Amino acid sequence: MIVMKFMLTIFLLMLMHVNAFAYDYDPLLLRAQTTLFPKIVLLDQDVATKTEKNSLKILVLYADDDIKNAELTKKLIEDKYKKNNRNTMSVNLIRYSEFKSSEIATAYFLLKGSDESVKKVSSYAERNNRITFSYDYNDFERNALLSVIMKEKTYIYLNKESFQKYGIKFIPLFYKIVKVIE
Amino acid sequence: MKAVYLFMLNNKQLLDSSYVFNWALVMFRYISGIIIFIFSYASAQAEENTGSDILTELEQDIKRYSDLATNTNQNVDYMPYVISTLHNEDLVALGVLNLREAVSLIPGVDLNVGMAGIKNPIFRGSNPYAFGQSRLIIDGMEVNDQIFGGYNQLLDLPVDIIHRIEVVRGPGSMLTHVNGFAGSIHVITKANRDDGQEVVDNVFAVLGSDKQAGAGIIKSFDFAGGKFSSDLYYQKNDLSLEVGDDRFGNSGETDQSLKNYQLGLNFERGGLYFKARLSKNESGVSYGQAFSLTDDESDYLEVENNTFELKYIKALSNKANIEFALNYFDENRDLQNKVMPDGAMLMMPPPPTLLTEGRYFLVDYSEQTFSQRLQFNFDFSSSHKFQVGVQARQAKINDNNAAVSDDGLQSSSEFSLFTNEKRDINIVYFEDMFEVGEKTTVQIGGKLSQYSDVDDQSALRLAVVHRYNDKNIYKAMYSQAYREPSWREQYLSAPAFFLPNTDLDPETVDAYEMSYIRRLGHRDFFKINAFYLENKSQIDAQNQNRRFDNSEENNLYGFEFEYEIDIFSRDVLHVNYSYLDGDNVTGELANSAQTLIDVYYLYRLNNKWNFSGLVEYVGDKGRIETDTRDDVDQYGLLDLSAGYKGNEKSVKFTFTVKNVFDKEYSLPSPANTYPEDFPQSGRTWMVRVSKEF
Repeated sequence: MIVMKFMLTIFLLMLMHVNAFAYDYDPLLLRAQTTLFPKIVLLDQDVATKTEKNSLKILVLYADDDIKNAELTKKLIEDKYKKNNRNTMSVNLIRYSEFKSSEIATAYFLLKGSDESVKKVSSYAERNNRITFSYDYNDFERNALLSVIMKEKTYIYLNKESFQKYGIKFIPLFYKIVKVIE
Repeated sequence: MKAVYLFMLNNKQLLDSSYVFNWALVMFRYISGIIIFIFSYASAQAEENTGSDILTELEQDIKRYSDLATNTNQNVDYMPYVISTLHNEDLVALGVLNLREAVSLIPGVDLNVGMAGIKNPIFRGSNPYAFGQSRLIIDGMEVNDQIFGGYNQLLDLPVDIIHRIEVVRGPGSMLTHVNGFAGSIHVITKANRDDGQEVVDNVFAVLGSDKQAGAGIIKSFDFAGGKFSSDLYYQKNDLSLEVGDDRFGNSGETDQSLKNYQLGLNFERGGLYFKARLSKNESGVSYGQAFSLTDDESDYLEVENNTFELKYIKALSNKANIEFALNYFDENRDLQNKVMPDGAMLMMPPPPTLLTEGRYFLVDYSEQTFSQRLQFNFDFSSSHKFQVGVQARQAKINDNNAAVSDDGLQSSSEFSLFTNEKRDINIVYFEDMFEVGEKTTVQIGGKLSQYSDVDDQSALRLAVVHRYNDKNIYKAMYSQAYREPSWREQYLSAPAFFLPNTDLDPETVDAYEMSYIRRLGHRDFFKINAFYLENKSQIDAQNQNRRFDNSEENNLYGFEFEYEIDIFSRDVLHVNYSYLDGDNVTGELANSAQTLIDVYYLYRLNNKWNFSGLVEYVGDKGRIETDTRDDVDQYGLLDLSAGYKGNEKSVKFTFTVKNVFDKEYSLPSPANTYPEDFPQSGRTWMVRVSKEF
């Protein structure tokens, strides 16, 4: 009886709470991605034309209830990038649901989101020749350009099909270290 | 340009003006061209250099994260072992109290009760009467003792200080020099986390049924130019469990109480590492050292363990390093146990003697082991790694005292507990792991052990991992392992419930394993593996003389499957199922369930609340051939937990009810001891509180 009462109380508390929820992210993978991502952006041969007053503008896209991980991603990118001391960089967060076609950026970091929202951002980036980097490489099916995964080693994945459409040229040596995914 | 201009000015009178102008224009264009070319080239070169600098950094980062993933076994799916990993966050959310409970969630792992109530993990039903078939490695230090070969006293480690647990099923381990027989358990503590993240200081406390209480702290700071971290905890409970008649016909409460503390210390500076773990367990004597119920409440078992490691790693080049480790382990056991009740008749040695005040068994024992290890690690390339090492171990007994008292502890007859007091082991080992093509990794390993008191042993390992693509991974493994007899099995002095045998050979196994992994997402997976174990010279005392013997040659086979998925992106559903067949003792599948199932569901409602349910099912367990009792009944248990944490830095609460339906269940008692097995706890509750700083 005590257990039943306890469970009922918990159930009621569940109903009362509608706070934001965080998706599951692999902490090590996220750290690896946020370390590698800005460096990959700098390997775009035309990066200078995609900056704003010589500053890289990074947009982190996140689902409505994923603000905590978006903030963490922003912090990780900024912390890692500061050490490099090259171009300046600004990292901004924006919900997928609030993404507009005016949100031009040097590159887009895609956290987990619905198929439609990921497609929407990646299509826009494709049209403007901007890099999209997705946490989840399954987003390659939704036209994301790059991702990093950890298997027996750490790999940078490049979406071959999207790459042909994005029209981005990386420095030639970059192609030697990426794994091109058909 | 300036020189040309001056030349023009100085020779202005000498030259025709139009001629000079044309000449100057040509020169100007020519030189401008050269200058522009030089500037363009320099600029392009600078860009190229910047690009290659970034690329170099990128490659270094990739290697660093690959190494981190390997060191922290994030990429276990690609490693040539059958491995399951448990993470602190999940264990806390599930209301798991300690390492013992956590390990029982691993497919193919069940718990068995031995003398003095020792609950020992059994891997795939392999010799449920041996304690040392699996190895426990805490922060890289092996902590198995020599007396039993086991590590039971360290299984009370609370999950609050554990970062993650990796369990290898089958021979081998994640450390090349440690060769588990049926499995190995690797514990990485929070104070010693190896994922490149800073140690998070925290405090925790636990309260629960049976006067369960405990508290601990994890703390780290920079010290003497290096990093220092530690954990410290104390826990206690007053658990007692009812038990039916013992072999003298007495029944009642068994004292399962526990007082336990541990202190872990880690220091790292440059390539120098120091680790220590000190622990003490004071417990009741449970079902008795000789499977008889004591009526003396002052009976106790005290076990102290201290483990130290000093390790130095020196880079020899970009592709090679040398690792030198010194280890020290000691264990002290104090026991007082009334092993025969008042009025019992002592039959051996003849003539029969009436023990009017029963018989006490007293132990004051300590052992220590020193080891020295030298290992070379070569990274020939990112796809070829080689390790080779030697280890020397010297184990000896310091205090070897035992006594019996037949007059209520007024006086006692002393004798040596063991007939041998030392064992030296020299070990040579290697492991070569290389890639064949882009998708296949091959592992070849070998180990040779030379013992001072048993036959030398060797073991080979051959494994192949094929990554068909990102989602489908196949593994095939053949491995051998051996376990030297424990001192209890080999050198224990009479009188003892189980008799020793100085002529024992090490146990050996040939294991054949195949595994398929389907990765469904970053965390989601489906894994299935099949195994076939050829166990030889298995040691047990399940015979008429109760004497340890290499009597068993048996085969065990089965499969294990694990499935984990997040259904609503805010939850985790985990299911594992293990099936076991074959025989392990006297031609029967004794003390081992054919079917084990664990199902848990974690639901994170929001950033504050999480809920979980855990169902454990353990199938019927058979008996040895001469044990005519019915099989041990199957059972299923349900645990429910709820957790609350206001924000990132606030106190976290977890409330757990275990065995919600108060299910009565038992673990098997050995033949001719307690006829009615060992009943376990009914419904209990627990509150866990923790705070990070």
